[in-house]
Amino acid sequence: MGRFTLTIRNLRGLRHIEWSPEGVSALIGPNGGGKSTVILALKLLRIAIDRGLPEAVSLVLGGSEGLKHTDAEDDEPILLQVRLEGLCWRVHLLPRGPTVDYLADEILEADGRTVFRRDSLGNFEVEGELWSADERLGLRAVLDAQRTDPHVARMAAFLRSIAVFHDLDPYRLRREGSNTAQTKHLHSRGHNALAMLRRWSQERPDRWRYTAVIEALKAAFPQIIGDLDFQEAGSTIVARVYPPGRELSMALANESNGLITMLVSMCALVSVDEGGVVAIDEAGDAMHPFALRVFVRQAEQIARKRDLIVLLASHNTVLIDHFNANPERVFALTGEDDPGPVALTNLKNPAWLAHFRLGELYADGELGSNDPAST
Amino acid sequence: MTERRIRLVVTGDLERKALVRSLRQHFPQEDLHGTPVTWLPPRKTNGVTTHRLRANASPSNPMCTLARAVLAEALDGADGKPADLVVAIDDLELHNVDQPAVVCQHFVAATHQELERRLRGLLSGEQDAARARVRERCSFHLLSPMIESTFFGEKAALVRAGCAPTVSPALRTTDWEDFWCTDPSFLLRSTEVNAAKAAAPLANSWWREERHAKHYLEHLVSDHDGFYEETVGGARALEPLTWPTVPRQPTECPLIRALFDDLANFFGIFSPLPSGTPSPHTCASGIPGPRSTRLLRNLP
Repeated sequence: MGRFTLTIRNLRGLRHIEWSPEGVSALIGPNGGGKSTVILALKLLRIAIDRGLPEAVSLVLGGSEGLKHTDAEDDEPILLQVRLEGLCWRVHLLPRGPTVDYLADEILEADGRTVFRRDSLGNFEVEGELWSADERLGLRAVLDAQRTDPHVARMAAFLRSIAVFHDLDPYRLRREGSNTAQTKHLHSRGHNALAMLRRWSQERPDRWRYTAVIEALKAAFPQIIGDLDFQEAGSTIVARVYPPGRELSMALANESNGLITMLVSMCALVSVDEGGVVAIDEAGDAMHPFALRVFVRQAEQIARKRDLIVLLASHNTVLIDHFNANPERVFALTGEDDPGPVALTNLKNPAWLAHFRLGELYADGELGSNDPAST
Repeated sequence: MTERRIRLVVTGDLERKALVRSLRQHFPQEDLHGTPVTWLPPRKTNGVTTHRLRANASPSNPMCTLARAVLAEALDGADGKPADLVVAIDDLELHNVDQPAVVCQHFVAATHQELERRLRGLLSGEQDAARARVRERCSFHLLSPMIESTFFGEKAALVRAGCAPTVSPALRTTDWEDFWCTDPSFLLRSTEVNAAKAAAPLANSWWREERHAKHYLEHLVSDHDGFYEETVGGARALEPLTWPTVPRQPTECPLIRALFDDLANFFGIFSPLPSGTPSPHTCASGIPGPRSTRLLRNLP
C-alpha cells in the first residue's frame, strides 16, 4: 500500500476505484472514463471536511443529478473511503433533493478499532459516547471538540493536504487579473494565481515558491520571460513580463494561453504544503511540448523535495512519454469491471512496454482507448 | 498446446476496429490439429507508406516502429504470452502503389535492424531461437491501394459504408488492387487535385487522385447526402465483407490472395478464396532458397 489508498464506489461513471498513487503519477483513459471524477472526488473530500457533504457535493459536482452510477442497485451505496497506514475513514453519499443528506453512514477505524461511527438516522457514537449529529462531517465534529484524538487529527490533516486544480482558466486571469485579498489558498481554477505569486515573492518563508515558478517559466519560455512584476489597481492585481534583454515590460495579459497555463500549473505545484497531494486535471493542456517537459521535470523535483504526491490526469502524449522509464506510475482507467485505475505494468507485459513510447501506445489506442479494439 | 493466437498489427483505425472480425469469419475456430485459435485485438501503429519510399534508402522511423511492434508481439507479447502468428498489414496508399517491392524491402531492412538491436548481448543459441521464431511466426502484407478498395468488390459493402442502394461505381477494372476510377463526376475533381499535388512544394507529380479508393468512396457517400467515417461506415462495410467474392479473376487481387494464403497456411487449410495467383512480393511460396534462410514467413 502507498501513502494513501482512495476507494470510490458508484460515484457517477465510476463503479469501483481503488488507487494508491505514489510520487508523480499520470492518470489516463478514455473520454468519459472517469478521470475527472476521480480528481473531483479528491476535491469533494477536501471541501467536505470544512463545509460538510451537502455543500461539497453542490460545489464540486454540481448537485445530486447523476451522482449514483447507473448500474448500482438501490442498496448499493455511493462510497468514498480513504485509507492511511493503520487508519480507514469511510463515508457514504445519500442523494437527497438537489444535493446529499448531511446525515450519512460515516466511520473512522484505527487498527481495526472504531474511533467513531455515525449513521443516516443521526446516531453518532464516539469512543463509546453518544453525541448529537449536526451538518458537519463526523470527522470534523470530533476534530472541533478538541479531544486531541491523534487518529482524527491525522485523517483530517491528510484531507486538508489535498489540493485539486481543474478547468484552469487563463482567459479570466488574463482579462481580470487576480483579487488582491485572496492570498490564502490557490483557487482550483487558478483565478488568484497572481495574488498568490506576489505574496510568495514578498514573504521570505514562501519566497522559494515564487522562485520555483519564475525559474520554470524562464526555462519553458526562454525568449519571453526574464522576470515578472506586479501592478495593483484597487482590489485587482495584474502582472507584467520582463522579456530577457528588453528594457520595457509587457502585460502578462498579452501572453499566450500556454504561458499562463504553465504559470498556474506551477503555482499549483508549489502551493501545496510538504507531504501533500496535488491533483491537476487535463494537465498540460495548451502547453507547447517543450514547456510541458519543463513542467513535468519540475513536478518531479518539487515532489521529491517536498514529499508530494502529484497526480496528473491527461491525454497529452508528451506528458505520458515522460513516464516511459516508469510505466508503473501511469494508471489507466480501462472501463472494465476490475477496480481501477490499473498501473500499466499490471495491464501489459513490462518487457513488451519497454519497446514503445507510452504516448505512442496511448495515441494508437493500445492503452485506455475511446474505442477499444474488438475481436 | 492449449491454444494458438493470432495478433494483427495494423496501421489504420478502420483495420483496428473491424479487420479481425472481417477475416475471422472465413477461418475455422481450430487449426488442422484441433487446437483452438484465438484472434487477439489488433495492435495499431502509424502508417509507413504515407510518403514515397526510395529503393535502398534506410527505413523510416515509422517503418522501424512497425517492425518493432511485430517483433514485440512475437517475442514478448503484450500480456506476457507471445503470439503464434503476427501479421503486419499496411496500405500501399497512392504514394507507393506502383512499388510494393520497395515497401517490402524497407520492412525487411527495418526488421533486420530492430531484430539485431534486440539480439545484442544474447547467447548465440538464444539469438538463433529468436530468429527462428520470427521466421516461423511473423509476416508482412500489403493492401492496394487501401482497404476501402475491397468494398468495391461487394456492392452491399458500399451500401453499408453509406452509399445509395442504387450506387453504380465506374471503374476501369474489377481488379480492385489496380483501382482506377472512370466516373466523370469524380474525374473533374481528380484533375484539380492531381494538378495541385504536382504544383506543391514537394511535387507529387505521380499522384493520381482517381486511384484513391477512399476518396472516391467519400464522393459516392457524399452523393447520398452522407459523410464517410471509416470507424463507422467503414467498419460496417468491412466486418461482414465476403472476401471470397472480392477477387473476380484468378489473376486479380494478388496481395489479398497472399494474405489469405498465409493465414490459411497457419490453420493448415486451403485459402477460402477461389484459386488464383498470389502476389510474388508477399507470397511465401515465391521466395527462392530454403525456408531457413528467410527473415519472415513471407519475406526473404
